[in-house]
Amino acid sequence: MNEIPIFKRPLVERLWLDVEKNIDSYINGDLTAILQQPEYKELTTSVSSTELAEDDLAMLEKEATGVADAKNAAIIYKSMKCMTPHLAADERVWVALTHMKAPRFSFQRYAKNFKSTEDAVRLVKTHFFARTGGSRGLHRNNALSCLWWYAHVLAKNEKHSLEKLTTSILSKTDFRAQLFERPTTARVKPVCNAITDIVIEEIKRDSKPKILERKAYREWFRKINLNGGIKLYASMSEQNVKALFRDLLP
Amino acid sequence: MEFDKDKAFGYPVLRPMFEGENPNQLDYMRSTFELDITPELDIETPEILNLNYQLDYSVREFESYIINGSLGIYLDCHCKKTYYSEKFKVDKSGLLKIDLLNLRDLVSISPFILAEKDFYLESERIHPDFGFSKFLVKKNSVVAWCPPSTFSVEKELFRSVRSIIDYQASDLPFGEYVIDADSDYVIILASEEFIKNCRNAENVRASQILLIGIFFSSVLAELLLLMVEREEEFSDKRWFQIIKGKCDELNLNTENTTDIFKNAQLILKSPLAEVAKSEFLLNE
Repeated sequence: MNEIPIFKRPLVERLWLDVEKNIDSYINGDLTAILQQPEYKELTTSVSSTELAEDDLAMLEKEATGVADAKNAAIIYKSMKCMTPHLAADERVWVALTHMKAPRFSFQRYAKNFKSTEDAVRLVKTHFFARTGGSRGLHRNNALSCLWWYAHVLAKNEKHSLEKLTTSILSKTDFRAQLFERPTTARVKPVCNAITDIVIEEIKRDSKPKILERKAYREWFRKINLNGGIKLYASMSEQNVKALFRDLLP
Repeated sequence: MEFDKDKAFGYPVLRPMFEGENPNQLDYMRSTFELDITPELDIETPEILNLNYQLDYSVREFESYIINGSLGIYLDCHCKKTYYSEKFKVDKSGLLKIDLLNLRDLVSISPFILAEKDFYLESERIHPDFGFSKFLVKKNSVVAWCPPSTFSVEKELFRSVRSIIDYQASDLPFGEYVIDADSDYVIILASEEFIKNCRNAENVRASQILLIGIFFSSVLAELLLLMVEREEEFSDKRWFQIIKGKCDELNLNTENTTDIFKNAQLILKSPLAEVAKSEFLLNE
């Protein structure tokens, strides 16, 4: 297994400024020739004590669907050993991974329907880097980092397998956005775990549960948010949070 | 007692006194809850964030409730960038160690005091408008809280401002430069020859003084100006946070443009004074 690659900062900045110049390579899904240039090569390194199961990345599904994202999140998370949150919050790692290890997937998944060169440049800047839209760049926009972060947040719930968690929570893109766009629900472990537990239990009872209907879960998240204004979820046990959230189910 | 917009608990809660408040109108009269916290990175254990903290609560009765286990003090640590959240039970003061592998950029610490069991809390400081000096507190209820203290844990904050600036060759005429601040790191666009000369100057002490005094202080002043005029646009950039951290460390006012040149000099440790002292000028 290889170590996880990382670019030095000047290379990230050069690639960012040169997206338009290099756009054909992004469209073709092969950036090898660009990255092989000596001045770029010397700015590429790897993170010691980490491991990347590169072959696993070939299993990534390019379809732009929640179901594919759910499978891909588990693949990405498991393909990297010793990837810490500190490291995963570093744009340089994800720029290296999208450019070196998964350029074809990153372009096909997010940019293949580009309408003009300008549009392609915009999409590449959004999904090959991790800086557009503040923290969304890292958690939502980069083609690979978003998958890792989804899985990382869900993996804190150790009562279920990672595949079970990603399939149950990530398959519906709007539900996933409701959960991850609210920083408190995704960040506070008892809150996130209570939500994921309840959803998995509901799916077990009924393969198309009411809680995964748009109107129902939006109302549920709204109530959870409102209650967070008067209760300090972080101070409650996971069991108590879960009981409360069950009471709030529409 | 005036209506307290910060009180959403329905019972007396101890908290800090905010600007303009009357101490006699607080839930616990003339009593506050304060956190003093200092983050430190130790060179011996670079993977650990050390948080020296001291909590002050001026309600005498709380002390005995804490000792007998009715109340507990907690620090809630959050990091937005890494989805990290952890609650620590702590003493009134001490040292909290957190693994930096879980953190990045900004970290928030919120202190609160929680009821560890159902019990009657009694205090002579409870505002008389509540109509009681003793009330039933349920287990896990918040009895004291403070707004979060936020700070950066980036090691770069402890490094020089120079570490956030890089060069990029462009077609600009020699001597001219443009600052690109749209990324996390600042890029100076300039001609290849100009960049080469700057890089060479960085390696020799005498020319380094001139470079910092003349060139970098101008670049930094321009960045300080952007921080005032376009704060919303740039506040999430790494360069912004690092310079802001330096300014906070030196207690510099970054809210108006009046002091930007003075502040640039202070951050760079008065390079113009160094230039004036340099042999180069003295020999002239």
